[in-house]
Amino acid sequence: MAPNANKLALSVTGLTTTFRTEAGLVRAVDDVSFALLRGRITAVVGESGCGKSVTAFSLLRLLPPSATTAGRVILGSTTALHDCDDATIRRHRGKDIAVVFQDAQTALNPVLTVGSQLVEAITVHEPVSKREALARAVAMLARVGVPDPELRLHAYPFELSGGLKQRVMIAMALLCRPSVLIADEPTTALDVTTQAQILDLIKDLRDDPTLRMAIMFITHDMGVVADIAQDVIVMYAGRIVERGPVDVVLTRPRHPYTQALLKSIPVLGERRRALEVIGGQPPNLVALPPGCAFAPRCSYVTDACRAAIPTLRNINADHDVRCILEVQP
Amino acid sequence: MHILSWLRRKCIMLAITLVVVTLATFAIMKAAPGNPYATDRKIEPAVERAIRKALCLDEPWHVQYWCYVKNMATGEIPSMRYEDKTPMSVIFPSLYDQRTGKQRILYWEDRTRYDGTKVRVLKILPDGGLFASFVVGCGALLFAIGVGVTAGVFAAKRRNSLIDHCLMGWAMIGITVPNFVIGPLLAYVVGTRLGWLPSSGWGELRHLVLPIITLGFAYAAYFGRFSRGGMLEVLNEDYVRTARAKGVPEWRITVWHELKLGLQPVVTFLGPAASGIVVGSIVVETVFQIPGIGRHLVESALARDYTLLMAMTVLLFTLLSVANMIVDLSYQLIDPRTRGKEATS
Amino acid sequence: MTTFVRHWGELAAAAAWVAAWIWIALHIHALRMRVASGGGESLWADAWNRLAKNRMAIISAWTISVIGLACLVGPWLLDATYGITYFAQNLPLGAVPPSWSNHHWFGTDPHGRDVLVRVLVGGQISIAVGIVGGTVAATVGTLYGTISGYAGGKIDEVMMRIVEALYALPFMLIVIVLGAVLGAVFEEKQKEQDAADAQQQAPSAKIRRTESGAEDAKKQEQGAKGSSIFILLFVAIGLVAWPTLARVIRGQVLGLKRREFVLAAHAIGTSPWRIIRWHLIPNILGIVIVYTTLMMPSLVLSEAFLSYLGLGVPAPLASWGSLIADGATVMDVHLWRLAFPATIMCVTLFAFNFLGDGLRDALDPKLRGVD
Repeated sequence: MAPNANKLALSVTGLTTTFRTEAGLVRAVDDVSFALLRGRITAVVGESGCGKSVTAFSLLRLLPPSATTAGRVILGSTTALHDCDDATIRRHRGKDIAVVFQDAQTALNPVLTVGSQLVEAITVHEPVSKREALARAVAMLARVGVPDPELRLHAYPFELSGGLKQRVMIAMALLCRPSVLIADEPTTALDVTTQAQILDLIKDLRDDPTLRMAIMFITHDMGVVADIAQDVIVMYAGRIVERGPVDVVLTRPRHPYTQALLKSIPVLGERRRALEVIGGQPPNLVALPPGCAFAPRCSYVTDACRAAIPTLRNINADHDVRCILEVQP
Repeated sequence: MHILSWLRRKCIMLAITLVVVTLATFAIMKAAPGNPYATDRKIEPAVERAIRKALCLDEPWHVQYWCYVKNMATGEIPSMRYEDKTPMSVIFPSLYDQRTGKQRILYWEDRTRYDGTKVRVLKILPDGGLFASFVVGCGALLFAIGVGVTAGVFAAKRRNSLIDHCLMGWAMIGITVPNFVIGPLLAYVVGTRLGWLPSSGWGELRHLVLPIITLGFAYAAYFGRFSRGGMLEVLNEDYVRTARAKGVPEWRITVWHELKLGLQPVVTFLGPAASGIVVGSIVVETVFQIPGIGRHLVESALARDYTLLMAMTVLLFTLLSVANMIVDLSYQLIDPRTRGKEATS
Repeated sequence: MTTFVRHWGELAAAAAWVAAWIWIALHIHALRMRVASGGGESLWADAWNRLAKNRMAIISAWTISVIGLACLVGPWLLDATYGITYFAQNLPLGAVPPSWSNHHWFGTDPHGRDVLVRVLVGGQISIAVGIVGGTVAATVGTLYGTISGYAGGKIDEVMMRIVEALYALPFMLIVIVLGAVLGAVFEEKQKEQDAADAQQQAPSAKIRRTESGAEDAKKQEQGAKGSSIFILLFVAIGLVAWPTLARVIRGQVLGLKRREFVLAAHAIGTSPWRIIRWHLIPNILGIVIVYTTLMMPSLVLSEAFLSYLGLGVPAPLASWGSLIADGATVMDVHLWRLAFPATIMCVTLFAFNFLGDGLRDALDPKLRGVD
């Protein structure tokens, strides 16, 4: 990828995160590299446990002490996040990179009002008065589509519906105008109608010229990817297996895993006997096979696949694939 | 209003509890052999008649019960053991000397210590009875909460470290070793052998130290375990991660986000801790010779002075019930979820 | 009850104790065999595996069984080999420190009574309190909690309000009152006995006599007979503890009630009592065992507390609490009279705590570290 310099919000090179567990060392993220550009949504797709969320949390060191992270993380074009101390990382959290979590019910503190949590997001970074912070909070709540924002300030999270809570989470993330927004499956816990509304909101935020954010959208739903993303990264067993522009990857996928994911989506109106499934078991990260991680479940596997881990190679303009074969869908 | 209806419910429960307690104590007292005022001394017939009348002993039992409740409510408790003063003055010693008009608290007094030294100290502590026990009990509760919660939070933050194991081992000792072992041990080691603090007695602030530590030690252990457990549950919660992701500094996360919910088990345990301290103070006052209500309770029990015994028991029950109500009320104010609001959209 | 009969009672209890532990061991062995041969891993097998890895819990279980056995069999052994009983006074040998030569390994008290045998007999009483009180609390608490949880609605609300009111109140005070009254009843009975015996010489066969043998033999006989009313005290101690258990059980039952297997049983027309008995209680048995074990130390401590105040079992019977009370006053001169009872009691209570914690970890590792 040849990113435009003033559009580059975040660049990640060789990110590797290892967990110390009772069963051994688990490499949850293995040599992941990507770049996030302003005004674009990059979707990260994969099964549960493939390392999507861990990748995002590794950027901000939000992981438990049993995790070790290596690699280079550069904010903008200048600020290195990977080797700064904890105090510096804390300053960047929320201010330059903000996170919207999956389950707004548990992600909001149940005994603090919405207003106090929003105000906290501002006051830990900027020395503003409480009144000014509240005004900004009200404005942001209105921006994300919360009706009667002044009333909501005094409400507790349990008094709000699922969609409203998620909007509050998004507002909280935007308050300091970060350049990167990480959304960790923000619509998974919502019903379909609310999901559509939140997705519209996120598209709106992407196109907002005053915010100019790069959005990293983690999901396991290919339909959502098709709806809102411009770039997509497919992950499996902690590794990137395919990435590129959404229209390219979704219409001409080259990795067997991506193809299987797309094939397993039932199409309305199509007549079939049975659904397509991906055979085999999800990968055991403690005991990965020596070669390609997808080899045990791949229909096109060869001996060369099992011998060594394939490298991520570029096959088209921005299209990279981690597979030694050229599999046409 | 929600709080008012809750208050009304609690008052009804309080009334029911008191009725149950008075009935139970009354029934036990009737089952006791002999007269409720019997001692080995001979009592003059006139006095005996007066006492029988005061206790309504010649009436059917439900009238006796009503008599019993009335006596307790008004404070006219017949007791053979105290002749020059009424039992109520034993429980509630007066703060003013009736005869001389001088106050009996908050003045400078000259004291001679047990080792002969003369000092001039400010008399802050009440003479005895309920107030003295209250001072010791509150001190023990504050000690238990302060030491216990601090240790528990500390241990939770550094889980499985050496400090964690040490603190929890210490907590185990506190829960298992009874206060009538710790008390005499402390009194002997610190008081008799080392001589730093008096091993018994009452009157100066130094007399408070050992009883408070003895009484509070077990509950510090309990609070330590509970706060550690509560904090451990909270430490992994999502909203703590959200706060961290917002860039909130660690100290503020601990105080604002983790403590508020992590200390929930501690607040729940305040009630049983208070009642346990009341019971424990009985032993502690015996060990350290403090003239509080606990020691009077034991003496009444051993001397079979039932009327006074029952009165003190019912009094303690009432006080603790009211205290529990206050704690519950503040709990409702702290945690908005218990107020019963519905989710709106 | 003569010494002879008392010893037979102790040996019978010891046999029951050993039988109970052997039964537990056999059950566990069967579980392990089943798992090893590839059979299904039931909840209990899974729990046992976790418990077996917990060294402290296993050591604690052994400690409890050994101390229990010693308390039951010890007095008989000492009586048979050295003629030492817990009530036999021997004034010339009063208040001697521990020594090997005169067979008083824990020393004696001022009356010349051997401290070791008194600790063992005290152990019988204290552990009996734990078992009786624990059974009472477990039974009442489980029934109350199960009914409240299963009934739900208004009944549940009322029952739980009652428990909440009871939970934070010092019912120990009522037990103290009860102890005082029982003590008075006991004294009255003693006075009557003494009066009756004064009229006729009471024959007592097969009682060992020492220097002042006749006197305290009779006292021991009366003590043993009259002290059976103190079982009431043990029950009362158990009744102080049931609200905690009721709350925990109710929580569990509320959770279980929503599970499908209860719904299924209900759908095929099983009566509520059968559902409670066959579906709910086996599932909450684990929690009951854990919390009862964890409750034992506080029950033993309650009895010790009462005895310390002089309101527990009467003389010449001893319990750990009364022994500690006597020992604490003379700590600086007769350390052995405090050290031995206090140490044995604390070791037993530690063992119960560790075992209870181990059981809780074994049955639900998610609860680890949380009270």
